[in-house]
Amino acid sequence: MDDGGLDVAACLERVRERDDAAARALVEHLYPLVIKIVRAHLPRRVAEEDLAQDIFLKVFERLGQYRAEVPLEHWVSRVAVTTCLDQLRAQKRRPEFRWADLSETEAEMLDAVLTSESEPHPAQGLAAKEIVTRLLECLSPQDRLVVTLLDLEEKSLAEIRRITGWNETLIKVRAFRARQKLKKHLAALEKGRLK
Amino acid sequence: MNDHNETWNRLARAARRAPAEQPAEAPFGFSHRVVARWLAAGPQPRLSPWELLAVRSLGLAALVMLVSLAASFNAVRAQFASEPATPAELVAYLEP
Repeated sequence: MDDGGLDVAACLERVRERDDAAARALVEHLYPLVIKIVRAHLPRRVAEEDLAQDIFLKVFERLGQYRAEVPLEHWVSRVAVTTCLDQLRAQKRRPEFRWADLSETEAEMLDAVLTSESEPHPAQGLAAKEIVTRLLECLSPQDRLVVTLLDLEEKSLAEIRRITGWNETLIKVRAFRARQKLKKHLAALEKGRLK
Repeated sequence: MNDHNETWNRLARAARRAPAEQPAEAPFGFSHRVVARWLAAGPQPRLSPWELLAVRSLGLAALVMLVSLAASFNAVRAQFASEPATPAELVAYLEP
């Protein structure tokens, strides 16, 4: 199995023999995948590098359990997502998100989304991302995970099933409930705007 | 009242279009730090000989218990055979 210049199977064999050069090559190879997951699910106040390091340490500790029945990237994604989920569980959920919490740019952007039918300007992407992140912080870790995977990363149900280990019915139910909660938070936010 | 489903969809679409804030390459020295921590932690701890013995003893004890129960099953059943099994039998058993 040769993947992006790295012979993953040979590399894994050497990592199992505790070869440090092979372990470093594996970290460099998997880093873009891991950091993408970390950035998508990162709890506030947790440094992304610390979380990425925890994920790699778990990967190395559990490498003996990896049987190559699935691609290594799938297995690592699952370790990364469950580690992020554990971190999110440890973090206290934001009780609510108020209009007063928005910066001027964010308030302007959300006001435009609430009052017009048009799509936000591409330059407002970062403001939208910040609002979305804060809204997701009001959800439970599982709800947040499912909405992030479905609506922000546009993963299919099959992919989410593979990453989380949840069945498709559970994913659909969680997504439905999570969106209902998001609607409530958006309604409360809009009330704050009208005050 | 707005359709908040649509509001959420538009926010999510805009968030997806946001440019990546940071590079995806590992920061300098990251892989060295991770591998050093992993190697410093040593291999996964295996069970000590005493722990191994304790685990085996537990399994053996469970096996002995099951064999004993199976061997004495008839004797135990015979012991309780004369005792009432239903409420009606119990009443009849207790009546003088």
